[in-house]
Amino acid sequence: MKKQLTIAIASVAMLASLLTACGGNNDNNKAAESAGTTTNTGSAPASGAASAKPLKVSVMTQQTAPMPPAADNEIEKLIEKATNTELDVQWIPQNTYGDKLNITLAAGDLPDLIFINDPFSSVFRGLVDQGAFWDLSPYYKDYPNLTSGISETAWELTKQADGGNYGIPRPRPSEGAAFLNIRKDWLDEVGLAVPTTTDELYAALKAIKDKKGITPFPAGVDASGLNLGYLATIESAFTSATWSPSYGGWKLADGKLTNTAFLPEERSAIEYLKKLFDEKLISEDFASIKTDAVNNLFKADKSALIVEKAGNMRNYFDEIVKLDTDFKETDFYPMTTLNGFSPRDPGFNGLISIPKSVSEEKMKGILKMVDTWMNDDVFQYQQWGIEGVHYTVQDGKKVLDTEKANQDGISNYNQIVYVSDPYASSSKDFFEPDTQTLYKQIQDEREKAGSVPDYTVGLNSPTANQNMTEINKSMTDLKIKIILGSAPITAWDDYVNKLKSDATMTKITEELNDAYQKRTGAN
Amino acid sequence: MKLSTGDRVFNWINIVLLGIVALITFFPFYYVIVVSFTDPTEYLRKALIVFPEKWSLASYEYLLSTPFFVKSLGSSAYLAIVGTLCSLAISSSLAYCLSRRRMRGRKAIMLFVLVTILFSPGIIPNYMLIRELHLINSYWAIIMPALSSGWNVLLLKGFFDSLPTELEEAAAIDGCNDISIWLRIILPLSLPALAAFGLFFAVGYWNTFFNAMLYLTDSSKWPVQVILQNILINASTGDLLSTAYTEKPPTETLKMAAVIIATVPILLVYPFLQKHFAKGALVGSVKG
Amino acid sequence: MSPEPMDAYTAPVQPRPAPDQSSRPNRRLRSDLKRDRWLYLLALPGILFFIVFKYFPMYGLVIAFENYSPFKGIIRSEWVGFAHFERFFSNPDFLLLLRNTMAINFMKLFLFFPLPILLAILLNELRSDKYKKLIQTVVYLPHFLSWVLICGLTYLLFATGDGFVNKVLAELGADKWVVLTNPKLFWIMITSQSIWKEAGWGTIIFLAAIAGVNTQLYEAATIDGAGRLRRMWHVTLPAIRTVIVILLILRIGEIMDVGFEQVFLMSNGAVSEVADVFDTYVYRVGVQQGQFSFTAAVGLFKSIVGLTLVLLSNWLAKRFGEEGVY
Repeated sequence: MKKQLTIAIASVAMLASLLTACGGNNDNNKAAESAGTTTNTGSAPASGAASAKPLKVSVMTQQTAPMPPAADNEIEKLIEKATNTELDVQWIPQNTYGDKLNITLAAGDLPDLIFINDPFSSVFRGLVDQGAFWDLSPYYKDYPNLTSGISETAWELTKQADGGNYGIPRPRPSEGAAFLNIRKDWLDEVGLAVPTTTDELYAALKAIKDKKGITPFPAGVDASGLNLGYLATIESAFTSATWSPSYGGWKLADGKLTNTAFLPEERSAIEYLKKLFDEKLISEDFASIKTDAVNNLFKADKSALIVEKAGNMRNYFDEIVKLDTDFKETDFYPMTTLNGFSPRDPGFNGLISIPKSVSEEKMKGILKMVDTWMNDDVFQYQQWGIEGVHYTVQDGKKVLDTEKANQDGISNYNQIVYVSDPYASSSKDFFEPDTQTLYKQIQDEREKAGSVPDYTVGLNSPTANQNMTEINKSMTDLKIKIILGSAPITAWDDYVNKLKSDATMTKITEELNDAYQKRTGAN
Repeated sequence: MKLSTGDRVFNWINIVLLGIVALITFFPFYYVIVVSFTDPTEYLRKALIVFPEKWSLASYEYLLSTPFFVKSLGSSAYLAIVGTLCSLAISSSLAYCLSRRRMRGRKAIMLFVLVTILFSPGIIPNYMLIRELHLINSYWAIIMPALSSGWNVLLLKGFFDSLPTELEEAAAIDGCNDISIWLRIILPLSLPALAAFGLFFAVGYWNTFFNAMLYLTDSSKWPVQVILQNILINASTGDLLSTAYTEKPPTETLKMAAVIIATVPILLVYPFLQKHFAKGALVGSVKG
Repeated sequence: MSPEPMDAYTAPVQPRPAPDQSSRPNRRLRSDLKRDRWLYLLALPGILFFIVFKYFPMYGLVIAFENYSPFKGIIRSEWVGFAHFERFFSNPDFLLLLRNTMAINFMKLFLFFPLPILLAILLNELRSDKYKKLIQTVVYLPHFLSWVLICGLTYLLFATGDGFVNKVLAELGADKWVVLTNPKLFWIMITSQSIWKEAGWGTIIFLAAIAGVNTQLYEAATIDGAGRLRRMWHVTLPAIRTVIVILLILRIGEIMDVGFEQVFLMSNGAVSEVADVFDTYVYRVGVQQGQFSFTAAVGLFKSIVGLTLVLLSNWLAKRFGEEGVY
């Protein structure tokens, strides 16, 4: 045995040298990168610094288009030239970004600028606590686009526990969140107006089903199994609370957050959904059908109601019009509110953060880069691409070759820096002018009626972090069983009664409310 | 040789039975092929497509005109070829040694190998190891950790166990050492096993997805599975960023075409290996 | 069937006499090592591989006993002992998860495991080489399709609303057959899917083993007047017995693992009390929440159970005179 041990130890030593030799062939320019860091502009953000050496910036972000952009493609070169930087972007397919980010954070080799998809994950929070990232709050106000192009709310909501901003929020429109859209042409056929209440919605779905012989709202539960997916929008219309992906349904009333399970309206919502199911207005397969399949049914002219952002209309229109040539853009009709409710998005999507391993000077250089990148003349590169390659100008209007743009993946650069257009979720430049007006008007009406945000965004409850997933899962399972008819509605009452006296749930409620008070009190 | 009635009945039952099995297992693949050639609109309209009315090559044209997709096939082929050869060498040499009963300490080594099947240290230490070896962004980061596995070594050993020992003893008397016995006698005799495990390794490398995503930071080096996964599971972020256009999620027909293009090259390996599974590979050498 | 003729047809397995350890063991050892030096040299690259790529990273298992914090690293993270294990075992659903995991695995062990063996033997009995090659090539195809696709197809076939099967049933005037949301059918559905996708692929290893069988044995058996089934039983099956036993033992070691992706894709709220397994639970609670330590603790638990079972079944196999895994 002893001999084997010595052999083992000797061989490890041998192999170590062998392998390092082997790995030496692979170019690893990390050292070169970090060497290049200190040479650059720490100068006042306003100065042009065109003559200075380009700042080397390594970036890690997600890729949303099917294809990654080629390294050093023309778009990237134009952006680099305009911002006087040398970008080294690591594109990660979005469906695995979370895993890759966790491993990268855990292994500790961070690029200079890194996309944090969930600023409130325990991993990121932990790293922030330990000082792994730059607090940008003392700096960002020096850069005009970072304050004018990114809303105050976004900066506010992404503050960490100590009140610091450990990353630049990626701005997104807050109005125009995904909500119900209904087939207006079919409503006209059955002589009904666009529903504004759940009762009217029921009547409309029933009339369309009778007339068309289809399942008007196929719905479909979220793949995670943690909420009712498309049906959660109907629940929200009852409870007036926007579902939070991390903490579930929390309603704000009189300055206090209450889990929606405790509201009588939630029970009514379940009963309502059961009624829809029993009358086959939602799919018999709603528990197992995937969202892709649901969307395809709408495209195939086989369903009347869908949860979607109005700005995605053309993805559906282009298909439906092939089957139903009378279909108009505005027949994809975004409902304004249901029972007075409409959801609001948080106004940001993750952060781009700079690790402490980057020098202060370089950190300022990166802020400057983002600031310049947000200028119209730079940002338009990733919106439109290059004239003659990705777009042409016809009658003074730019026309994008979407196929080419997709193939080159130019829109991926939006995953690094983005300038938010407030109507981007609702309307697009290439919609018919009438459609644009209608959709924008609907968005404005929602805003006026008081769209409801997810109030738990940015709140931290350690107990919820550990337990809320399981609570949401069991809650959703029970709802599904009741809707399917395999459990009675009284099971819900029993469940809620038990949950009321559950110590964990009580603690979560306390922690969330404390965090909420702390935030609103600080304002 | 005359067949008895029982044999003949058995033959027919066997032929029919296996035919049915083949039809059932062929269905998923058939479906993928058919959908890949279907017009996207027709796909949406029908619930289950058995035969397309309108054939369309559009999905293939689109994919094959995408430089990334074609290039990634090359990366995958490189990984599969180099990886398989290295893996076979490492795994079969160790497995052969372990099948020699005279080797002292073989039981300990086998237990040592067995434990690795059951205990996996998790991604982070593996990632750190690859980083310490400076293999990040190198194809070796994919190949090296997959060179062997306990499963493969122990099963290969099972194959070597059943080889007759006479030949080897004769060679030893002729003065061959163990390494040349392995190279000259054992490997040629084990073609069926090497073909089977070569296939396992090749398919394993071809299907590498997560490690490639993790270790290859330069997306131009990605093998085809990374691209394929990105096309298949393109869950919308819910972001609508451009006002100039909306990104269309890949259509189902495009996804299926991507599956076909990414799968067919590795399928083509099988017929070449298949002949080694033919009966009696051993006989000739034993007799001769 | 009588056991007597069996010995006549089995491949000659002749254990070498164990090295004589009676006299002067040290010198014996040294001379053995010297004799086999080339053998050890040949084994060295493989052993080194296992040390570097499999054993070296195992220090990572320590995080199962810590509150692992990426920034502090493995050495400086807070030590919590068995806290994560306690949390895992005290979970009120632990027994449910255990039951579901075991149930799915036992079904796979009894229904799925023997099928590739049977299929390989039947394939081997096909007379026409062309037909044989065709069938072989076809049955292994579904292995190359991802679970996403297979699960999508299952949905197309079995959806309650407009799945293919239910449409046919409706045409025939029969009642609907609820499959996807039926807790009673979940385990068997998962097993059938695995068979559909992997049974053909599983034959490869057995076909390779059968290809190694000395044809003289078949000839001898035929001369002895053994029929088709007897030859399959007495020649083919014994020849691949070693491989079967090894695979079986390794399979038993994986009893705590359920193919995560498949179960995750097929489960839904209606069946979750039979579909929730260790892997899906850990995915929700550990992986998605970035709780590295908890995930590692569950993984370690599964490994230890697996190792115990493997050692136990290997011991049993040896008691029955099999070669076993080690």
